[in-house]
Amino acid sequence: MEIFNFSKKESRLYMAFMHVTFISLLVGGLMGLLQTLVRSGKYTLPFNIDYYTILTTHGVILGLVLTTFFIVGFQFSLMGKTVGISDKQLMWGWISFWVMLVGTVLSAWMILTGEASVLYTFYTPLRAHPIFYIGLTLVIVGSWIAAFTNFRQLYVWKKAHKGDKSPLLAFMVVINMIMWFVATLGVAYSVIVLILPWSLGYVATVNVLLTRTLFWYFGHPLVYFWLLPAYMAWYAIIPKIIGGKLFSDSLARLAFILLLMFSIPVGFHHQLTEPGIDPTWKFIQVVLTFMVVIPSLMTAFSLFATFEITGRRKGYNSLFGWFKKLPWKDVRFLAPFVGMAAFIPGGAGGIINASHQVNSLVHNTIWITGHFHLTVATTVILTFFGIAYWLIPHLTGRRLTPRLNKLGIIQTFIWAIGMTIMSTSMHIQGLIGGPRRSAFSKYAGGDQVSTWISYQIWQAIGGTILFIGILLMFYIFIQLAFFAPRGYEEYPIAEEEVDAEKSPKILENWYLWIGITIALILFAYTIPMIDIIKHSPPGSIPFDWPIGRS
Amino acid sequence: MSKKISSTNQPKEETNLKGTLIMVMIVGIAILVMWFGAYGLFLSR
Amino acid sequence: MHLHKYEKVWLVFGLASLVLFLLIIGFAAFWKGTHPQSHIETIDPQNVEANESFQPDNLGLTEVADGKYVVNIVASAFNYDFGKEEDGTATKTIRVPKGSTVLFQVTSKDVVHGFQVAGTNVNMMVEPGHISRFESVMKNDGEFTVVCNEYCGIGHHLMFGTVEVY
Repeated sequence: MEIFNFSKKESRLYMAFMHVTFISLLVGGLMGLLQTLVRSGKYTLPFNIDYYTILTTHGVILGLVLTTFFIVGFQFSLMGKTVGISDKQLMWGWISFWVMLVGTVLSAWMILTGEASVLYTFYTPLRAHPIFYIGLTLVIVGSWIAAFTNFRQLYVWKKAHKGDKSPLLAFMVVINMIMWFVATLGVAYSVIVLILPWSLGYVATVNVLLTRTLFWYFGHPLVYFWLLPAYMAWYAIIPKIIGGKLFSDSLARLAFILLLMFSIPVGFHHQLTEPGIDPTWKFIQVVLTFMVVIPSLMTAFSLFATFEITGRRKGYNSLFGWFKKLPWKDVRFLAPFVGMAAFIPGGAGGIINASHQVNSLVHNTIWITGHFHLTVATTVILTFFGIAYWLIPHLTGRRLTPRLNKLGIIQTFIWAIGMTIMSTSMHIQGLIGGPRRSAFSKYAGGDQVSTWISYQIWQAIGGTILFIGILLMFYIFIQLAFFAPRGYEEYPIAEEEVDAEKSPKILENWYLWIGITIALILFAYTIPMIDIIKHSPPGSIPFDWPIGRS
Repeated sequence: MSKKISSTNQPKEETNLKGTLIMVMIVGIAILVMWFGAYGLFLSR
Repeated sequence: MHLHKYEKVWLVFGLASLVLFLLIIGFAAFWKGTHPQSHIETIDPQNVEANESFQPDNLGLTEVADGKYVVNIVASAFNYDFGKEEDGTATKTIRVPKGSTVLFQVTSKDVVHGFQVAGTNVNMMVEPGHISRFESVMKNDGEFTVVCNEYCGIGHHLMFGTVEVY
């Protein structure tokens, strides 16, 4: 396996993305803390700051900014390691970074000045300032530049390595970026063609259901865009960290292909309680949603099998001896492992959410918030932290010292405890009807509401613990970026077994997989989209005052 | 690098993955229990 | 491509579970009719009174047959209009007997809202231009808070009502 060394200027690009990631973590995390405190009923925000301003900041900065910056930066580094990067590609990398950053700053400026308290879903006909939408568009366009640079990187490598299969991690990055590009086309169309002209007053009304449907066409693949980099680490990096080999190159590729095909035609499972969509088409997308569970089932097996094979090879031959002897004291393993464990209730909860009529049990309750704090804010983020522990020092030419490793382990425990408290109380409160996206309120009073508030106090306790975890993580990041001792930190990439089975050529038939992906999208969306447009009600005029804009 | 080389290692089908099977089955049962719990709650309302 | 025999066992088990879930919810949806709400009925959001159900006099609770009720509601930022009491004050509580069948019909005059009778299966998105409709048998007694569960602006958390099942 060919491994490229990073040049100084290359490392600088990847680090630029990491800096934005961890600054976002600090800012977004602070907003999260404030939300849980407000919702406990025992704290009010100073300076007349509105709850929904911090809620919008939290969602946009963590859900869209942190994730996208980390993923684009991490994926650039994976491509740089496995297929290399040319000077020209590096320049495009910087262009993508700056376009995304300018977009972020523009949107953040609008949110913080109260001109865009529309949450990260920006449902019409609430109207934010046009600059907010322009900013979001730039973040997406920047990520497209990164995507096409990654495609080019693999293409150039393939031309120089005729007949070789592409490196597994490069293959995975390209899958994720294809999915991201196909998915973001929907939200880009919605923002640029439907919302932006309307927000500027050039068009009088907007089709609310159409913008929502285009948002969720993007919104579900968005969560897979977060998850796939975590899967990359689980499949192809963790085995190296625990001293093992890849379980199966071809099964890993197959899982990613299935994720590409089934991540997109499933957006209706976010719109199950929507009044304007035919229930039969909702159910069809529910079935497709259940298909996307399959690659995750495959992933669960691959991971345990990697652990077991590695352990048994080291001589731990009892039924669970291999499990006990995993490198629990290595934070590069421990943090992602806790993330994997969180994906068990996270994934099971996801199946419940997508179960058609059962969705009404949990739709828009704080159960959903609890759910994605397990999936993205534990599974994905702890895996990202697990990556950062070696990626940052590798990029800065420093070392993850035993002390920092220990702090990382403490950080992982803090996260696990804080999230268990916060997410569990959110799940329970949601099941008894407590709504999400809401500031503190006693509503009409009564027993039901006081029970909700008691869970909100638990959420404030969990949120406080989590914020301590964020401070610690930020400290570790600063240490690894600027102060840890100079040295060399390995960039772990797992290798195949020497006698590994040859991966079938068909796995790299891009035309086939992209073709099936598009066919599934057309199948799942064409007829309902025609219905939505044909049966559309009179459009909606914009509303500014409900979000406090004059 | 992906060439099949005959080797003395055991072929994959004989790899002992008993622990793995038990682990994933625990995951599967957790999914079933949570789903039926939620479905039961849905029906009771 | 090779699959370990245990992986086959696991995938068959996993697939069978998924199929089982789909059969249960599919049977409930297509044979028992418990789809989530979807009526694809539109309305002019700037003139909801044009629809008989949402004329001011028809808002709130109406008993249409023995044990069968209809509740018409107009949502707007940040209020649910359940009609008026006899003394002219705004209705805030809907009272129905246990075991009755209640059809909730809701629409929005302005932005997107939610409508959930918390603790029951009545949970709908309410969108301008669409009529949201859900029929439910009120099996359990108690006081249930009606909450707007979709963000509708800075007064979102002040938008509520009560359904009392006695």
